[in-house]
Amino acid sequence: MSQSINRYIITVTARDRVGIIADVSEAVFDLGANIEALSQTVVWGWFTMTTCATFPSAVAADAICAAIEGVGPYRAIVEPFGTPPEGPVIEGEPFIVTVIGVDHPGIVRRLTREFANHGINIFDVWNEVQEGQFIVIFGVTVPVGIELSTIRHDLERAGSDAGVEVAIQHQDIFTATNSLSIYSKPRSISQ
Amino acid sequence: MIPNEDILQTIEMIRGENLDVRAVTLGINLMGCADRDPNHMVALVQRHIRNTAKQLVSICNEVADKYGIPIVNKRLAISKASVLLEGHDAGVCMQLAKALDAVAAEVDVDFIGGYTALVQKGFSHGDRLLIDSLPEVLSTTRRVCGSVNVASTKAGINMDAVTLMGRQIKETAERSREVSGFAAAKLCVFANIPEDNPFMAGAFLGPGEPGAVVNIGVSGPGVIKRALERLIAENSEVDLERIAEEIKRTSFRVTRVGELMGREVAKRLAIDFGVVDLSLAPTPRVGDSVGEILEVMGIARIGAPGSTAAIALLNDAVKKGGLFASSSVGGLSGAFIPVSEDKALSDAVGAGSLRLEKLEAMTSVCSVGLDMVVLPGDTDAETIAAIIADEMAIGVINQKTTAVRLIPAPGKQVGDCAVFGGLFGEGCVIDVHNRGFSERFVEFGGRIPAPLQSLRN
Repeated sequence: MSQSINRYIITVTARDRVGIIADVSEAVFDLGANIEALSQTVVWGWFTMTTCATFPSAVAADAICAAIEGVGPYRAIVEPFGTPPEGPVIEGEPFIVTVIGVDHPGIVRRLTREFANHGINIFDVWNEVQEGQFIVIFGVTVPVGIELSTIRHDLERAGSDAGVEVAIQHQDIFTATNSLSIYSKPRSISQ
Repeated sequence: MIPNEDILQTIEMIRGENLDVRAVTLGINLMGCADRDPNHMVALVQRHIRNTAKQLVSICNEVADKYGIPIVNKRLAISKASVLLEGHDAGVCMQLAKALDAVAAEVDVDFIGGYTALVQKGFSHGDRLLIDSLPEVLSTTRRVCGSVNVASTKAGINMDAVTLMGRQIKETAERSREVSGFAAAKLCVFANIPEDNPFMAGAFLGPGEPGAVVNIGVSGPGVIKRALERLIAENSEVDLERIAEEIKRTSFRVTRVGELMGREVAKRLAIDFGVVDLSLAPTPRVGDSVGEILEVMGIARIGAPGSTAAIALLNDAVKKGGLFASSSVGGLSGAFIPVSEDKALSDAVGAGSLRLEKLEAMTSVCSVGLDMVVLPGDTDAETIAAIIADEMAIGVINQKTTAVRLIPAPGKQVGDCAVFGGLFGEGCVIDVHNRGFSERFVEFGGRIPAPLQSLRN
């Protein structure tokens, strides 16, 4: 049996507290798992982690889910990892889109629809409200061959529709001004 | 992913603190255009500039668009024009200057520097023609900028050239009387002129430079001012060492912008990248002022005791941060104090707190000299020459670049202001004490010998 068949992608959500990753990793370790990749984020006190792990072929998804939910107040989703993607999904340049304005429904919807229409993939997103200002920062990949001026025009129009200021800038300007390196490292698709 | 706080800080630097690339200056060597036939020489000059610079502005705009940071000025700096005038007669000066003005307009740059002569040890025929033509050239062309190097640490000070430049500055201002002597704002007199300076009016392509090269001038007084304001507001115990550290960090960021964008412009033009000039170049906008930085540093009135020490700290910290950010640093690289272009400095002159003598002292520890200083219109040429001589001495003795850009505004007196507009701003007339007492000194002429390089006290 190939290794990909017993590799799972596991997402766990919970109210944030100390020890969640310790609980989850212990639960899967007891089932013979090896954790290969791990990421976490917290939004307004709600914790989400996503991990990729391999298990002995006899361990089923239901058993993993039950083990995790059994060690604490956690919700787990366990899916077979399937066949890993080959190479980068989208060839393009990394840009940062910043959105600043007064919070109201529809801002994210309007802008992300614009991204989708242009084939722009979001590789990272972050948002918060500071002093009444709704701020979203998208890390996006702009596909090769798309005119930046066209995208900027469409994003600014979308921003205007949504009543927010939108800026799109190549990621390197933020790397150059904030790190020891002047250029961003090329993004790779981890498997 | 870069931390979000860092992204937001960079965004704020651009949106609210006037972070920009002040100048992309394309240097072009025109030595190969020298020809005894003036018509042929001028045609070669225009063709070479056109071919080298035709894409400059569009590429700068594309790069500015990509990074979301404005490139304010796109400019040309040619090899010294006096070479092109060797073997010609005086009439060719205007022909060349008009051709430069026209081709600069054609490629859509705002200025073309390099109407330049280097005369620290004496004059060639071409040098003399060029200097004699400066009043007419600068008052009848729009984009041409002139500069004359009259002194260097190795050669000393050519006092014949200093005296001559006193007269030429006066004449240049007089010929542009209707615009308060503005033509003199396009003329710099230097000691130790840099070969790779991207800033006007003193930009020219030095003899040691490549055939074509892109040099970048960054900006950022507003960014540094806000960084210091935040530092002081958020920390109860701030000392000058911490202030210097904050300036260094901010200068690093600002320099990186120039480095990144300059290299991309050069790459797209398929031309060598030269240097990032670290100079803090103010503009007349409130919040984009070197004078305001001094105020944040606790100099309540610019020109008060402490002003020289404060700008020395600022100048040094800017260089230290910039040098870590880029390995290609050159040009003038210091904090500019161009009076009319910096509202806080101009106001200080108007209020009488910043005087010529203090300004001169400050230029001994920062860049670049008595810059955009408006003098009373009736200041005599010999006094102007003596002011030049003093500033040149500071540069020569201290092994640094110094320059003067003086505007004896015709008809203006202390209490008046000369309005130049745009980035040139508005300068209040500074009082010149002891006028008319330097004539005998400058009229001796000859050369002040090169200074001793040891026993430096």
